[in-house]
Amino acid sequence: MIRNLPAHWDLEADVIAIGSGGGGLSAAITAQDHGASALVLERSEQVGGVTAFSMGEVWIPGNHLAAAEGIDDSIEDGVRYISNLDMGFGNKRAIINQAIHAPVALKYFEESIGLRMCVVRQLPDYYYPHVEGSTAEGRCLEVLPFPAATLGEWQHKTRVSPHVPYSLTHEDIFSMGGMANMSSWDYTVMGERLANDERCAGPGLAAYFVKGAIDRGIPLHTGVNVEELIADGARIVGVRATRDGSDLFIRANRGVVIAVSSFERNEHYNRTLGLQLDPVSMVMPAITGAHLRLAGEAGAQIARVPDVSMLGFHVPGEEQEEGVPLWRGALPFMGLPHTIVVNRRGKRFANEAFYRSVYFGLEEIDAMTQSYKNFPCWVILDSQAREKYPFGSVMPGQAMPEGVGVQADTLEALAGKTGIDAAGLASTVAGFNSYCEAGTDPDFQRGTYPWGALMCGDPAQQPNPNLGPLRKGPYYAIELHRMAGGGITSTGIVADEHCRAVGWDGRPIEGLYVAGNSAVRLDNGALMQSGITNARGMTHGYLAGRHVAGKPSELLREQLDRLKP
Amino acid sequence: MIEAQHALVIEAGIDNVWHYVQDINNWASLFPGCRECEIIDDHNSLWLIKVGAGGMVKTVKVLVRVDEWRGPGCVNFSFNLESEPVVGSGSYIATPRSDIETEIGLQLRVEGSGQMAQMWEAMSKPLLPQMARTFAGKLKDEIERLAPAAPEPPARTPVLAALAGWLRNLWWALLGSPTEKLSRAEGELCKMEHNKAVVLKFIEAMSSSDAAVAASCLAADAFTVAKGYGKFAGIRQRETMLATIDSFNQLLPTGLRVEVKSVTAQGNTVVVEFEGNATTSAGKPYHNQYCMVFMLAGGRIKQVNEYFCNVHADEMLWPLVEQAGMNGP
Repeated sequence: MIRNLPAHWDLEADVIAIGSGGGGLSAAITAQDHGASALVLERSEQVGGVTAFSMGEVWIPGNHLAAAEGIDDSIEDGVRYISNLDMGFGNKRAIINQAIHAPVALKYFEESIGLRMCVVRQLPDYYYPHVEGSTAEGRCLEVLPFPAATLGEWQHKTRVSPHVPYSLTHEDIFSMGGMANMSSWDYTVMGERLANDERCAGPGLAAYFVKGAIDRGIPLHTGVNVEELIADGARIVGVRATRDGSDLFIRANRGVVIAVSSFERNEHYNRTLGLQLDPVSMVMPAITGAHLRLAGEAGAQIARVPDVSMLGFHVPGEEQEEGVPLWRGALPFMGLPHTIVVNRRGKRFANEAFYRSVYFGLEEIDAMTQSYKNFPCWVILDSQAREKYPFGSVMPGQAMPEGVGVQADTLEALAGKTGIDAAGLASTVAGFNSYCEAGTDPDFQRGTYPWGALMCGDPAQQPNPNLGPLRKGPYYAIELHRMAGGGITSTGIVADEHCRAVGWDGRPIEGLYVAGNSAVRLDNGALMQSGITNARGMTHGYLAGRHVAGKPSELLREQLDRLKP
Repeated sequence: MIEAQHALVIEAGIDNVWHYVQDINNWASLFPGCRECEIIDDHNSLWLIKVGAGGMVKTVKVLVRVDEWRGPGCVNFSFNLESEPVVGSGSYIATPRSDIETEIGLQLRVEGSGQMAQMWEAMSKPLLPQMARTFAGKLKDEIERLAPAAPEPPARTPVLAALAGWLRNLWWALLGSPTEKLSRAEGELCKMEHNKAVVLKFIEAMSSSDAAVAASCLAADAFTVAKGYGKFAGIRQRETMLATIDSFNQLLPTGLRVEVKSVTAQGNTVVVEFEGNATTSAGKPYHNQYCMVFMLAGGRIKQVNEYFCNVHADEMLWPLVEQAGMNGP
């Protein structure tokens, strides 16, 4: 263990949370409510982190809100679902730990900070009904609109998302025909919520936790970058941070919680730890893998689970608030009718309406040539799609802005402009169009996953919400860029059931905790399920907060005792 | 259509203000997020603006056309975004308050078009007031920074001079700066009296549920904005205003029974403070206090900003509105 005590301390608290997303804030709130003082350090100028960029879905099997709606589900079924999909890369103990604590953490934050959530009705698990343990609805929760004016001076220092229409709930969007049908939405509610600054989705979720922290008087320090952990030879006792170029030594009497998301703004880590070549990123520039740098010094162990790249595109002229180009995920647009994704041979390679399929397809390597079979790839759409559907921020009926792909009157000309094999593209489109008439996709089963039909399709499209032919020019091709996981990554720090960082000797590092995306996903292995990441953040924060305050959860031990034969 | 306005007083004479305002480059340099301004001719310019909203910053090209340079009191302009189906217009109105003070009012309107018109307007809703406020504030700061410092007051002011000063200030407050020609001051006074009369006629028509008379007071594109967060809050266009006035006596068979407390006019604005003392169709008393700000153009009401007790209106009138299936007053 390192020993680097400073001559003096500038600030002091029992618990330091590094990062102000769901993980850091929930750790600080829980610790403070269990008798320990807490403070939060955030390197950027706004709080809320990646949580605020998200859709705000929180996925919790066996939660009490679903039970109150009469939806049949259980923690055991949730564990079964994950175990059936983790491909053996999950850790059973970690899966159970997350599964039993997430419903408890949800109730805890409802009662402590006034978090108000509801079930997103009709939103199924990704793999429903194909995998045992999946449910048609009930596990995915979202917040009720949060009045951001109640944040006072933090209202404009709490992040909102450039990626989601955060003035609407899932319920609002579904009731108006889904994202695909935004041209026929009634925008009255959106206008009122924007004018009153009522936040839903990820920005709403983050705002509830920011409110919880400021209501408790937990100091939120922005513009503070943690440079290194400080240890006394036996345990982590503080941090050295910098603010405006000056050192700030902050003492943590009980512990430090690292909750700084992933490393996807670090090109080197993306290549060596994420196995992703030059991905673009949808998250803020601050997400550079600080957890690895900090905890690595203290000897923390890292681990990896299988993961995939996402795909994204950029509309010229769009930036994040920090001034970096804004990259948008292609996920909701690839599986819409009149739209396909093809490789350079002009061939489809996946179910475009189920992003896991596309993204795993992306990783396929041609061993004979040591090259990616399906990358580069393009999303191809026709004018019917442009008339009816949005493509990122390009609204239905709006001309495709200059710099977003290419367009041509015929598929052949489009192939010529992109370098896609023209004969391959023509044959793919002809085949796809015939599938659309039949309403089934024998190649990749588009439309067979209800989640993809709802979130990536047009519910009004018959007979298959994800199938519609490409036959009306002009046609469009947008080359998709490899994109990192939006804070969700393969590699992170190994933690125990109390979210204590674990060293290479397998023993917890005293005084050091990790939460959310900074912790490796051994609690879901190779599975990804929308909403699980926000659930992990708040559950980890809850567990770390309790342990660091000296009141650890005993639930796992009790549960394991109960399960003993 | 979404509209926003912001008014403030600049501590500089109207000629100094105009000296600054008459150059479109100065507008562009102060406009929030404007990075470049390419002058096309006396009336047209192309602006490159970085607009921050909803967690992102978008660079948009905006063609700005000054429809009317009518210095020193008025500039009318319109604009359209190059890539988005959004057009807008606005006006800048300056009124002298004294030799060294000018009141400016900035109005901005935005209208979406095409199938996503509603969305563009919803997104503009929080943005527009912020732009009007920021721009007007920066205009004030910059002009005050550049304006020559006001002369030091004399060390002692004789009583008579002080009295004269007080009278002068009163005169200025009523009619504007004496640097204006008297005929113009008289014209303004006449216009303001006319505006007051139109507004009082409209209020009386509203009170007595006389839609035909009310219509004669309203401009063709008039609208009203009921402020606050109650059930009646929101924007109502001319047709809805008139339909509401027409059905008003169903809610209040006694009429609103208006008692005007004060009427203040300045420039094209008339502010009326009044009370209503009515009995509702349910037989309950409805006593509300109102302050309405009327903005006129060409002697007719163009916009009304209504302030009244939302709680009382929601409690006493809303159930009746719902019962009758109306839109609300």
